[in-house]
Amino acid sequence: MPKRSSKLFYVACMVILFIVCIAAFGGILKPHGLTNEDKVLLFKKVIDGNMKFETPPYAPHSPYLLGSDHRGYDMLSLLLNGLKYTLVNAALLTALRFIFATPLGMWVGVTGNGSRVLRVMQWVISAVPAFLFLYPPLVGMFFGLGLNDVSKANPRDLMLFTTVYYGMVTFLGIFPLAYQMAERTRYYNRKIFVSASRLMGGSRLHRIVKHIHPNIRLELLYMGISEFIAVLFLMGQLAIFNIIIGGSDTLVMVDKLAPGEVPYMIYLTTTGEWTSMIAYGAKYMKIYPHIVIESGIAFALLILSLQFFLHQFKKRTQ
Amino acid sequence: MKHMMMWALLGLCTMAAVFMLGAVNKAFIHEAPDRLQVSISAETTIDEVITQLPGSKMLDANVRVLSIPYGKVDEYRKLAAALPGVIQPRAMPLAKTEISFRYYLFSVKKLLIDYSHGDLGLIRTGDYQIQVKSILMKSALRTFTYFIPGLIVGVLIAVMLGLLASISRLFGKWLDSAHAICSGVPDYLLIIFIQLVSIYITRMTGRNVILVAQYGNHIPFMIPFLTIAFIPGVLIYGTLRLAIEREMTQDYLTTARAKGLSHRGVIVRHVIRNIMEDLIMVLPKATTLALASMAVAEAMCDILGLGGYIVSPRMQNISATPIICIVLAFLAIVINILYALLGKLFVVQIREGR
Repeated sequence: MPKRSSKLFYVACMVILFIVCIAAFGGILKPHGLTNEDKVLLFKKVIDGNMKFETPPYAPHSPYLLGSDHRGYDMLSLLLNGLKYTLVNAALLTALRFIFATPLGMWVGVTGNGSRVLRVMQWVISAVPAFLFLYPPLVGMFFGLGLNDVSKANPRDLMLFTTVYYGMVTFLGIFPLAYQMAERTRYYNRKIFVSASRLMGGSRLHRIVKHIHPNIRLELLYMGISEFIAVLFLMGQLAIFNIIIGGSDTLVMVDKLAPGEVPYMIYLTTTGEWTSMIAYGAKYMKIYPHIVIESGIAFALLILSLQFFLHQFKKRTQ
Repeated sequence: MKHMMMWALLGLCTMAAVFMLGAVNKAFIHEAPDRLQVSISAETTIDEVITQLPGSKMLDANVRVLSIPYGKVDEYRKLAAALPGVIQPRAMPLAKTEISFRYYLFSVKKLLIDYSHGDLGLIRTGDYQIQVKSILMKSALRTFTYFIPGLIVGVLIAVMLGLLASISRLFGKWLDSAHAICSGVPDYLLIIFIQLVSIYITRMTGRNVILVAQYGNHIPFMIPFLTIAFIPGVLIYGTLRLAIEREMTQDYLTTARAKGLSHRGVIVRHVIRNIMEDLIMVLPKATTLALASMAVAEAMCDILGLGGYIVSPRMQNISATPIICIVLAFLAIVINILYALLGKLFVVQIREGR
């Protein structure tokens, strides 16, 4: 029987489509460029007939609608440009996790071979916070290879760092996901229709492809969206710890009121990637709250849209 | 016993992995680990300097570059600086950053030797160097002041709300909607939200309601506490709601109801006991999330706790990261063991009859 159509489901689809469009065309739609020539380093303002000069970061409305960052780049342009980096990175990481975890989990679930190893690996990775495995090597690489000043860094080093970042974040996600999948596969493998297929001579691969996978497909989709959100959370945590995918620019801030204090380094994303924008804005919350409020609202809306879509999708398919 | 030994070994292997990964930054070298450049005055000769630096050899007489034992640049620099007539001994910078596995292994070995002598590493902030040994206990206690109460409060509130939501349908509906929204809030957004609210309240009232960052001995409590309580709490609530829903469909509850037990009575007398396994199963994951949130909160509030020391941009970790990571991993593993013991005590064990 066909499922009853729900207006909210279509609304959720439209929202997701809108996000994808922004990600795809944000680079073209952005009102200002993000090159050195596009930086506005000084802004003239007339207040009560007096000319005043302002330096970035500018507050919203002058000269940009959403204000600017410390380099003088338009916040709206950064956010429009950065969405694709956030989504593509999270999607690739999620896809990589699934590419390895799905066959591994299904094979272990059907055959039972390696289930102990999988359980142990799952325990090791789940027992200790992911940042303890990720932060020290990634931060060592990031600063060791000079990616905190990416314009001067060797592109090969950036590629190496990105590969290691992808490799490590993927590796840490494989085992918990494979374990979850193995449990679901084991559940379906005990069903009578799968036993019947086995008795009729169906190979393990045949049972996985023809019987278990069609039953587990929807769950895989739910898991995919949840995992995508989890990867976004992890990317944000790493950004808070100054690990910025794609490298960063560094601003050295010296507190002129406290001579002798340790200079404070600010790491800014070069692409406008959203989680890095939040991490950067959070450091300037007191003085320039517009940076964190704008990027935070954009990110929260993205997550809520994904959750809303997942909820509506579950409602429609269950 | 064999089972326990295996898990203990696994815990040790995990900590070893955390240690090895914690020292990876040592693999990136900017200076040659076996070269030293010295400038000398007329007071001495380069040959005299070489004789007083054991194991050193002249490599380039024109620029006075010496070959010294591998990885001893700092030690030999200090040694050379103390010699009469030697001016500014310095390490030889490399043309570009190199990845050296030899130096990584050398550093790992050196760290282990230092640990065996009670030296747990150094942290540099500005011109000051801090011994990790001197701050480890203090920062651990600082972290525990909000981590342990936050985790306990988070678990208790989640369990209570989960049970309340099952007892009252209207309340449950409200809570489930709130849970759907809350589960989409990452820890860093929650912290930013609390910090912003606090800043605006302070601006409006002129009173500091919630401390948003550490200054001096004033350490924020509410932000890390709320974050640590909230993130695992959301996970536990969701898990318990599903577990209770599953139990409510079981036949034994129909029997209990048929025998006259009220809805509340069914939950209190039967369901709680049977969802204990789900609670114990979700606690390790909740604790891992709480530990990660704790580090994020410390990074964002600039608190020099266990997580703060390794992620703070004010602190340059010379050799502190591995030991602090080990302490955090040890804490996580100990809590996991505690949960395993709790599971043995409280989870109803079912065995097939012979």
